[in-house]
Amino acid sequence: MAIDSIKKVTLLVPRNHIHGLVQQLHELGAFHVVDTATRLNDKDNRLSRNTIAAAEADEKIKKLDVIESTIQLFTKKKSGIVEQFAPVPLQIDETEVGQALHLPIDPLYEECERIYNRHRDLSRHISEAEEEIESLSFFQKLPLRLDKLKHLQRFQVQLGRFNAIRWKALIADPKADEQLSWQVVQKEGKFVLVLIAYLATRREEATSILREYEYTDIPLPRLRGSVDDRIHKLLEDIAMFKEQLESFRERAEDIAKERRKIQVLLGHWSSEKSKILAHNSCLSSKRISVFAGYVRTKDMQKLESRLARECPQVSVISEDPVLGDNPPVSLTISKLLSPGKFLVSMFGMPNYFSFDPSPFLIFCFLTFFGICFGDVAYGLILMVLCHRMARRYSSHAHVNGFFKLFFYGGISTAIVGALTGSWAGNLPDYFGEGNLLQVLKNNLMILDPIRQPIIMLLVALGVGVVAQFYGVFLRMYRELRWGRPLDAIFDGVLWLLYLPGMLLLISPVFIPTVPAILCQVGKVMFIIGAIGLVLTQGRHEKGIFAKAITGLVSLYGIMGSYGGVTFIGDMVSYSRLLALGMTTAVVAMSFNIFADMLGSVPHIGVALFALAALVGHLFNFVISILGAFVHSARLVFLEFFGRFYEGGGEKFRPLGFNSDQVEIVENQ
Amino acid sequence: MQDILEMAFLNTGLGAAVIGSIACVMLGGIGSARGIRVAAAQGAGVLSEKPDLFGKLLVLIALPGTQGFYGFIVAFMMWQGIGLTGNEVNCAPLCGWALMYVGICVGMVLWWSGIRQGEASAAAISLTGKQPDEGGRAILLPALVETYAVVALLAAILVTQWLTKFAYSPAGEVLKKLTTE
Repeated sequence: MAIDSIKKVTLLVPRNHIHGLVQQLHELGAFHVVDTATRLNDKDNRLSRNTIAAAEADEKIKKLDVIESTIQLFTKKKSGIVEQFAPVPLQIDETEVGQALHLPIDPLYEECERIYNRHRDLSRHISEAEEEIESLSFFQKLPLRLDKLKHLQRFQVQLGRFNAIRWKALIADPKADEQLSWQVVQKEGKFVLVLIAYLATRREEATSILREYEYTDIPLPRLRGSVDDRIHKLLEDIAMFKEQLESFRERAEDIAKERRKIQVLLGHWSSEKSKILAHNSCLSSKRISVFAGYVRTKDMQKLESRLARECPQVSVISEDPVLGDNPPVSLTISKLLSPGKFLVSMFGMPNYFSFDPSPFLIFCFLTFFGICFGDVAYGLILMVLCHRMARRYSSHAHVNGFFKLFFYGGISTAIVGALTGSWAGNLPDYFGEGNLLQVLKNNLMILDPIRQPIIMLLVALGVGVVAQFYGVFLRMYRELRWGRPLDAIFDGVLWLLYLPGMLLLISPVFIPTVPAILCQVGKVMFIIGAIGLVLTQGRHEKGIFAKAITGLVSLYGIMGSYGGVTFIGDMVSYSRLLALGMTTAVVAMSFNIFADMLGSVPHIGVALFALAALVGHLFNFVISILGAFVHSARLVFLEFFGRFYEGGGEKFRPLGFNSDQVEIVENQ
Repeated sequence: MQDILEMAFLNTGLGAAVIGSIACVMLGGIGSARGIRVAAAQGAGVLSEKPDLFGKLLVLIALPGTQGFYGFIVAFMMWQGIGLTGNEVNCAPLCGWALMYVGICVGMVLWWSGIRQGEASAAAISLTGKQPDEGGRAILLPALVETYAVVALLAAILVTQWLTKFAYSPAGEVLKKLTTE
């Protein structure tokens, strides 16, 4: 369970053999390609790139994307809830690629492009027609013949809206009476809809009066016939457009039968493009090409023997990477601890020269998750569900890791639930006094968070303190791995004196029964730790003054490797474990109370109780698990990783058929 | 009704303390909800272009949710301090009004910091969208805003303890005289 050892490999090959080399590396699937220019120091520009265009691959990918989009448009692919969280690639074998290559892409593409564009146009026409119908429906309801209004020449007729109060004022105005004629069409609450007419030659006076009384004009639609005729025509058009779309749907469903081949081809051409990009990454002189990359140490022999057999002209130079190289990271971990890899991939790969945190974080995460979600019934349900799903997706490492993580989470949830007496809330209490479940619940419970919340809070904070110190230990481990024992002491041991000392010193404020001897010990630890930190945290600064200031400020936490206030902030952050755990329990209890109320209904009470309890607990399960996962992950990524984790690593992606949507498996 | 109000606000500090505690929960929850909304809106935009960043963005979106929990913790400490959780309420009027003041002021800090942390999370989400490898460092940006919510939480816990548990407080005797029923 570690970061795989990597070798920095440089390949020298005669220029005319580069294609063969790329093909062999692609088939081997063990060589992570990098841009050769980042490795070679070619100050004199003696080497050049011999790029080949990826136009064919890009063209194919573009055409396949259009076909896929067209299929997707008409036939929505059902993706399960699992695929939405952890995409599941399509698994194929190599023979399928050969079969898919026989599919004629160009005629399909032309047809799909035509369908796609036509669909876009028809959708737009339908949308415009529906909008017009909606705007015309307003006029359709009015007792007006708009077609009769357009032939007027000497008169101007307008439809508009007045505020009721302003309308009353207008009709009382003699000036308005002189210039305008009107007909009230309808009243709409505080407004009045009015048809206004005036002489075309008196337009200015009329407009001025209308403006004075806050008239809002409603533009009349310009139609040849009546509104009804126009709406009827639009409805006919919409029906015709939808009929055409339906015909396209039938054709798209025919094309969708080739969907698997389309996806295989997309994977194939993505892979071909990656070969071209790999080719373009090398630098060449007149005769020799230089190819740079990384290979896992365990694959070196495979690489060398394959190249010796298939490309004997190639020279292989390998060396260990050094600080500053930023090699890609490949993690190998035992199946038992593989869920940790899922969490690490969420956050980002570790630096190659650091260590794989997967096995170390899994215990923390499961503890946090268990406390947040703690319930025996929910834990058992989670275990059963996730065990089944993990088996179903056993060949998909990423998805399998996802479900394994929740399976383990189910175990910790059940354990914490048993210790805190939460069995779907307090459901056993409703099955009669002294029933087996209730007895089991009471015997296993050691702490009731509802009745003893302060103790539970102290437990949550205690978990936080332990997690933070664990993180500091891991920091020391990292420094020792890098051969820096002094840094392990200065950035590890001293904090492990200072922080616990500080906690012991302030503990009497919250727990008055703390023995005085412990406070004394804490005081000594605090002082020694503080002095050590002041003297050492500024060791990288220049000048005695800067060193001293940095040392002092580091006790607070803005500078240096940690800090007192930072520690307290991190510790307090773990109080959310109490809040989330109590929330799960209290909501579960609330649903039990509700179910019990329904249970008192005569004859069907039992059934109602069961139904209400089932629905309520299902709801609580879903909302609580989301919060438990997110906040546990947050505590790991922020508070825990913040103590020791060095990220920024790039994932090891060897050249090969490595599409995200399609993967080749043997013996499919 | 008048008797109840007198009992709650004049004869004891129960009413005022409860108002303060609920205000803290309310303001912290509102701040978190708004902050998460801001972050989620940004996250939705980034995910529409790069759906594979879902895992990294989920934590960033959830970060502003802390203030809601802190509001609950403060409220809980108050209920515990005045004896509400143990069915033995003992809260002098002055103590209750002081707790109300603490709850409202701390609630305002949680509310404001929750919204601002949401904005910082949105910025961090944008950074992660453009530079996915920097996702780990991006998480630190909104965490800096949270520092002040932590400080407010600590202040509330300490003051609540000193007001309600005289034995712990350096000003225990004075407080006892001022706040005992």
